[in-house]
Amino acid sequence: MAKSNHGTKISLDVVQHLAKLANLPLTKEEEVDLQSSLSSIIKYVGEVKSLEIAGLPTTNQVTGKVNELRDDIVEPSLSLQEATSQASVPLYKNYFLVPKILHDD
Amino acid sequence: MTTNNYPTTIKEFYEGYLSKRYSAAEVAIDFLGTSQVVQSHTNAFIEISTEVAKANAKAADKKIKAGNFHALTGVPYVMKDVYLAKGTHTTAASKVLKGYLSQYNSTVYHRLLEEAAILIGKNNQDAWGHGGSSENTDFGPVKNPWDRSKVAGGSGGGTAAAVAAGASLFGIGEDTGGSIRNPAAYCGITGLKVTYGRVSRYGAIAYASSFDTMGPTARSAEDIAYVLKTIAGYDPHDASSSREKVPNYIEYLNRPLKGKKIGIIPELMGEGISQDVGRAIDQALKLFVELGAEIKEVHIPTASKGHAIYYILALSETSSNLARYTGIRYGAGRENFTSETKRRIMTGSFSLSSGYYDAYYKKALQARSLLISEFNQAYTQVDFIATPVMPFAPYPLGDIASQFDSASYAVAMYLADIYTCLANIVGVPSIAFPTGFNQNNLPLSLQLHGKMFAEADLLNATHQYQQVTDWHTRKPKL
Repeated sequence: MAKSNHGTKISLDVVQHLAKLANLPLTKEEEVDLQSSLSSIIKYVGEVKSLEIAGLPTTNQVTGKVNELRDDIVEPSLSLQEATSQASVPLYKNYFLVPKILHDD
Repeated sequence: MTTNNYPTTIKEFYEGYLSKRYSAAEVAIDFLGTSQVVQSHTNAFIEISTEVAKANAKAADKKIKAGNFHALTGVPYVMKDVYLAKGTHTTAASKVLKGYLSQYNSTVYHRLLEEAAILIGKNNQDAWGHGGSSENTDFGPVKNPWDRSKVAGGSGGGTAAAVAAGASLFGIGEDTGGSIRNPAAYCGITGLKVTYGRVSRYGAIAYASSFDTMGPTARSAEDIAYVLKTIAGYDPHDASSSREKVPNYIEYLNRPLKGKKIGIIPELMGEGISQDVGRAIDQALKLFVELGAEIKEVHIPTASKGHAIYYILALSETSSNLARYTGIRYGAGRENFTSETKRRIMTGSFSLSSGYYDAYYKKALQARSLLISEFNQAYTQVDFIATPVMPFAPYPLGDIASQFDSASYAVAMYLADIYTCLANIVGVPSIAFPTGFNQNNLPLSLQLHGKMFAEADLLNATHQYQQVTDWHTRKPKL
């Protein structure tokens, strides 16, 4: 993202860019509201920038456990009917219908 | 009479079945009735699961008749509405999932089902765990059973309110930044946030995956010990669940506290804590000294930056976790998220986005390492670390701003998590329990943090305190 965040308030462009990244449909009113509340939150959490942490490792998993994978054996799971039972839109030949994201042009 | 006359501890409840004072079928009917009353006063439920409860009770009576039953068999409980349980809807209190029927069973529910505990209902909460007051819900706010004009805490306010008001003996919550402990404190009951990985997360709706912990809430540490023994332990369905042995927590409850050291963090005990909360903590710590414990100052310099770290990481993770709700395979469209949830998704997207990732997300992950090393250092000197749970007593519905000056309004709800989010960042277990009431008859509380996987020690310390106090036995009048 090219827009800078040096000021106290993030720009409307940044809000719209984030909404696109997050696949979040926002009304104009929500965009304006988020511009101000995001600015406050981001300013607040920016406190971490003052910590002396250069060279420290990052921690994602607090117990240090590394992914534990099971053997690649087929086990019983949801039936097709169960898995599709809560579909929000009608199925097409037992497939979920999703919006088109690749275009011809 | 608004509630019922059944025993209020799991041990006595079990004895009632042993001596055939009641059947599970009767218990189910009576607690379903009580839950209706509790619902009308507090809005603690999103769904009262009548059919499931009756089926659970039938299984319980069968086990009891065969003489093959355990502490939780036939015991009524409630669950935060994030746990998938076949035969119930699961909404996470969001209209995005309104009407969603659980497609499989969460591991916690599965284990309770095997014991034939009775699921009374699924509880109201802040949607997706996003909040500390159970007001960010599409099902109306939860009201505090001690004073219906006050919040019940959150995010698991409905679970705590239901247990406090007597709709069940225990509840199952999910704690990502305080969601079990905060409402336990505000409703005057005991709540345990377990060590990360102690209880399987399988089938529970995720808020922030590296913080989420599944745990019990109940009146007492003793009751929590029974529940934890049942739900804890390795689960092949959750790759982050631990293979650490599950102790028999009950056996640890009566150990003396002599020589145990409780740390306090001076940099966290100062301004911002209201007088009534501070006084109750002083009195509770004094009692721990009488029980043989020592109080010692320890320093965790980064603690005051804890919730900045928490909000960067947890919101980044939630923006990623909630990306799956596309309104295709299940649920409604993303425009249905509440404004608070949209704010959290947007903040997380900001921290993860190109150009800000290094300055925010990566820095917070490094700061997490720093905080962990400071806790480890402190635990070389003490066994427990005591802090408040909440900086102030339950506040009026819709008015958290009443607890802050105007400069902090925009982040007020986040500031309230300052004491609870530390355990989630570091991964250690932590327990909240009642330590008195303020001048308005609202519950006050204390929080003890333990070492990794030291739930037995936390339950032991709390149980010893609860042997010489009766705060946890008080019940709100509905």
